[in-house]
Amino acid sequence: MNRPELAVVPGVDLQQVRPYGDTLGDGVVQVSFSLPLPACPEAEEAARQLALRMGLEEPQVYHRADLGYGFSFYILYGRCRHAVDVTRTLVPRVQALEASFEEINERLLRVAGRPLRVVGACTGSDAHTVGIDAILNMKGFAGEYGLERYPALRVRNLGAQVTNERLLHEVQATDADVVLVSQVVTQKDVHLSNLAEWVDLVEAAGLRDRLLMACGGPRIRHETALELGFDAGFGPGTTPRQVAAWILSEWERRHPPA
Amino acid sequence: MSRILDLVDAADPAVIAVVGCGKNTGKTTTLNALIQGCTDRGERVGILSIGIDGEEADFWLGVPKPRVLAPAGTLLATAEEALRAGTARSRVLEGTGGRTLLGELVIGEVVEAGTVLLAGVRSRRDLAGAASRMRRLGARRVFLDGAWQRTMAADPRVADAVILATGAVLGRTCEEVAARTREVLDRLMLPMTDREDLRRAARRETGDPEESDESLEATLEPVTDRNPRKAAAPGTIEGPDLAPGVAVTGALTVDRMAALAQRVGTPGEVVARDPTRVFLGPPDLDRWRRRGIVVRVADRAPVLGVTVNPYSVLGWTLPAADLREAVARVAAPIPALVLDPPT
Repeated sequence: MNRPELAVVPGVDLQQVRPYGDTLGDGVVQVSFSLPLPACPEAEEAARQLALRMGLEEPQVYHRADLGYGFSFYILYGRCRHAVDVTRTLVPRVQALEASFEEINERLLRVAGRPLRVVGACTGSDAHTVGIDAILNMKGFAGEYGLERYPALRVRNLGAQVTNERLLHEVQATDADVVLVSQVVTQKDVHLSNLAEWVDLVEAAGLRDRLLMACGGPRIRHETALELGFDAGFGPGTTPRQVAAWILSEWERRHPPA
Repeated sequence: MSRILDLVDAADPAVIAVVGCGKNTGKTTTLNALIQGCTDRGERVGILSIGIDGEEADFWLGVPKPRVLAPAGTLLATAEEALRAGTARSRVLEGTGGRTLLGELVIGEVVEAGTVLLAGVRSRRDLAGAASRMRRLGARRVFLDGAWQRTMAADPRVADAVILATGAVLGRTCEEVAARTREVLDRLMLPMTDREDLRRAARRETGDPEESDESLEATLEPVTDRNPRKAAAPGTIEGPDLAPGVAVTGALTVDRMAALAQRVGTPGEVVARDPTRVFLGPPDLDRWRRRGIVVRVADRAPVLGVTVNPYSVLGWTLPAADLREAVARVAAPIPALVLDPPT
């Protein structure tokens, strides 16, 4: 696969990309961690051995600090033996145009002919509404208006701990065009299972083809969302305008001019 | 490896869905065994995934995953950009017109064997369309790869049969894994109704395969009442009050079941289109069964077998023979088998 956009630094072999320390391809990396041991030569040797077991060659401790209460902190350098072929690495991105608040509203109203209906919720047992509120609430986030402020969108925020079934009811009752689901995903995957069930539920109700569906949260990646069956996934730092631009792009993609 | 082909041969289905009891239960290993086994004996196969499959590492845990291995001649439905992501060399045979974030959903053919990335299929409509295109292009069998524990691919209008993948990732003991497997099997093997009128009514949502899908929107009645006791919309129910049975279109959820049960006499039945429309857990089904109301389906794709993965990506391994036996006990008469570990 030819990836000219990645070939910025002269002399880099895109099929053998290694970390860079002093010279290209030397594989030098820095790692840091704490140990539940007081700062002493034995603890430093333990840190070095841990780096070896991580697969680093020639690990050296460059910094050691006593954290108190029997803990210590280490910074090590070492050589990573591995390389990555980025010419065969595919990372799906949310594809959305760069557009202003005004442009998004104007284009959405023009292409859809009406305001789109958006339903958002934190589903399952999730009570963390910070993310969905930042995107939906009129006051917005990071200096941008929330989706409630967009004249081209009619937003209904269902809040926290919404069951998939209730969300489906609201989607049907409001004849929604867009569903935004927020989840703080736990390590035990419970919330991801809930997202997977939502996609199956929408399909079973016969609504999947006409709904734009995105999920978001601090541990959601776009790839995860696609794997689960959503159309897009938004991670930390996403702003309302990015979500609105995605809605516009996705709507235009699905409704090309005749 | 050959036993999985025995399962296939017994029923000779053209389209097989590989459904997982959960994530990392062995769907890709099962898919690879099916692809390799069928290809080795000269059958041309087609493959696609309802999520994304074939990536190097688990998106969530970051641990390596088995890749999807495609011999030369394999057909695949995937997004155009994803065609370039594996080591296999492929060519595009035809576009489907389906637009995905990774370009058009296309039907490709592997020219030089290697790994492939399957992505871009979003809905049942995509799935059915791509499977039928691959059949038309000469695939003797088409394998539909699931995602997480999603069951969409088991829709009998798409798949002729299902192979279920289960594994140690679901529990720390063989019994725990077997119990979780049983829950999924209970759903996939919901009993079929004997009543032709209810079967026809439940199928009405989208019509039989030969009918047009245009009826999809028209017959879906939104359930809008917040009070679940009143939530069954007219038009979703066939039959008078306190009928011996009702048919439901769309998804059968906890609230809808409660509402529909008001209209069913006991003993009675509620009939959904197929198991992928039923969103009731084992406790719900038991509760209604005790009250004399049984959930049945109009159609279902038969489960040919259960593949058992004794390795958990979370770091433990269960004894393969014991796990297979525990799963076989709860799955009987459906056979359970352990596949060779990925190499």
